[in-house]
Amino acid sequence: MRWLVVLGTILALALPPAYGAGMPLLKVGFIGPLTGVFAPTGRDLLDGINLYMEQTRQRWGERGVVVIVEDDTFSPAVALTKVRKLVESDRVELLTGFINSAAAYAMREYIDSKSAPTVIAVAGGDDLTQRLRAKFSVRTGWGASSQTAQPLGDYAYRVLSYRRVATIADDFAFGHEWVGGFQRMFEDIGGRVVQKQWAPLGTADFTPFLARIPRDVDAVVAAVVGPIALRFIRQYADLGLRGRIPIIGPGHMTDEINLPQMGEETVGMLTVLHYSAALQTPANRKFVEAHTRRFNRLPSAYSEAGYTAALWMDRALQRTGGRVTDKDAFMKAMAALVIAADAPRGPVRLDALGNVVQNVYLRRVDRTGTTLQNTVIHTFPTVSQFWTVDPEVFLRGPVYSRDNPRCRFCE
Amino acid sequence: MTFWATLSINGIAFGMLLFLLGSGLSLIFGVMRIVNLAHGSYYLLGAYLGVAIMRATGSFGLAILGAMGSMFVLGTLMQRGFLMRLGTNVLPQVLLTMGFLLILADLSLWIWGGNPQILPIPPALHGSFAVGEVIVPVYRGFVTAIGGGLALALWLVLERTRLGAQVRAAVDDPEIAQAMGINVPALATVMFALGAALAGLGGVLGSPFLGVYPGADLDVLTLAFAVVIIGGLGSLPGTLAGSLFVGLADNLGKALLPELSYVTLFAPMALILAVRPRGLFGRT
Repeated sequence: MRWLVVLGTILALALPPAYGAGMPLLKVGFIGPLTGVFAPTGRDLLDGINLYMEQTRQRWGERGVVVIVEDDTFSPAVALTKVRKLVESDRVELLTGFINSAAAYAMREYIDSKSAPTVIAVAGGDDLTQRLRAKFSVRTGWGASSQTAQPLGDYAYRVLSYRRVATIADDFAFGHEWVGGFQRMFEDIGGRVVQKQWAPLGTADFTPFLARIPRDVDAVVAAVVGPIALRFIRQYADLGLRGRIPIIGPGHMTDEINLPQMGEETVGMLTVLHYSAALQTPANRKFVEAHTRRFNRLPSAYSEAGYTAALWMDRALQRTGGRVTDKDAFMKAMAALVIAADAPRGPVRLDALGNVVQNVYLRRVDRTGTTLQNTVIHTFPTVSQFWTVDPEVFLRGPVYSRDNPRCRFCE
Repeated sequence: MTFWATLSINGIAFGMLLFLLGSGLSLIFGVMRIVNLAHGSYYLLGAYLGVAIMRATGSFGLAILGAMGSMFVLGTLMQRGFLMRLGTNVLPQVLLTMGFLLILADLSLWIWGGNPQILPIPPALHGSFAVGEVIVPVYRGFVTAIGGGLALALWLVLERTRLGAQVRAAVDDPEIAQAMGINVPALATVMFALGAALAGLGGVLGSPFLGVYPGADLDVLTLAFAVVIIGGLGSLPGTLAGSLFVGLADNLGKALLPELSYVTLFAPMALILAVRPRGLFGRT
């Protein structure tokens, strides 16, 4: 009989602790791009979730957790099919991930029809938490696209003393919403956007756009993101514009995915984001250290988004005793969370529409030794998607778009 | 004035880069009647290899030679191992090169990952110089010079050497050329490999300002097709004219009518196809 006891002990030690608990394994479905051009963002997001999983030994709120991963290839149609599969055949209780806003928009009706609690970790489309919100979704990561742009519009006028700027952005929803948020706040206090240019997604050579920028503007506001930002900034420098007209823009341009590929031409650039790997808080130092040790590279805002989404789900599960069966109670638990110090990006909570309220950081690209980093030089504390505008007034207006706000001062 | 000059200089530089791709595509079509969809892959692989060699050795010259050499070998293998067997069957050819395009794209995603890369250029080619008010990036001037030099060299080889005469003979009538004692299959292999090497060179030269990323193969392939359709497949002067046209149209179109930038590029192509199906310089 003794060998049975030994065997039992070995089994008990070897199996994941989940099987020891009384509740069944909690399945979490992950949707994000893991192949194609956007694969690096999806990979970082998933790594962030996995890091949190490892740190919590796959136990969230007394329950063993398993993440089921699906690749949406950045396509809304694929995302919807994969979400159906996760909910109906894998029987996941929670959904997370989502990088492509179009995919997140495509999911709204389905999420609500199935009452499937969803934690959007990245997708920034403004209306996902404004006019077209799904009742069963919250957005813990990134926030609305224009959320970082609005404080920058304010800061550019008041502190940087810019009066006339030209904008250039990717011709898709993120570019429209980001520039819209900047323009509204910048012009509300007297600034003037004198030129708005939209570059088709995937533009290889920006010289034609750069050649049109009036040489007497105070700054170029650029929202050219992803791999394209590398080319944009290089071409900007090639044309001799660097040092003559400063660029300001969203932190996506100089994120930790792009930064290792960038060179001297990026140094000094100012960008805004809700995160920087160089953020000097105890929680972030710990996160950066653990991430670097585990994956051998610096975390990006995508890694942080995954980590914090997982943290959010874990905390909500702790409040409900690991139960998701009462969907409304679980959504309430998520909405009520205030994470003061444990998220790497800083204090976070949700607003009444389920969108994250967080610090926004103004970062400057600095050289430290042989590498570049985004040094935080200013913090806008607890920024909501409405910035200083009353939410009701804000929501009465249309969502930011290509032509909203209109370019009143275009020359 | 500055505006127009900047755009024209940039358009010409971009055109010369496209010439490297278009000339290879055109040469290959000329001698083999193959529309090679995998041509974009040589650009992609050339660019990735260039970045890798540059990172490892710090030598831009080695990056160029390494990328061109590897693409020459790859081109030889593809032509000898696969395409030569298909003769002049258009559909299998197109499908096979399409297959290569997809396989090579996935292979490079697997090897180099999805992160965009940009080739660090030697300091000597950094920066820009001013001609009056016009800023000319040094590197764009360099690309223009290389493209222009190669165009001249290719023209001299084709028009002034025995090898060139043999190539022209093989283009005009492969069977008679063969009967006259010209080794047409060998010639076809060399031209195919040379075309691949030129596209690889295009990749190395393009990656410092265009960057290299999954999908770059299709981006440049589309433009290279516009070049050869406008200029005429199989014609070197036509390819040069097509390259400059596409380079300039791309730049001016994006600056003047950004919403319609693909229209300004591809509408002329459609028009030329309708009026002169063989392109501006193509032989009928």
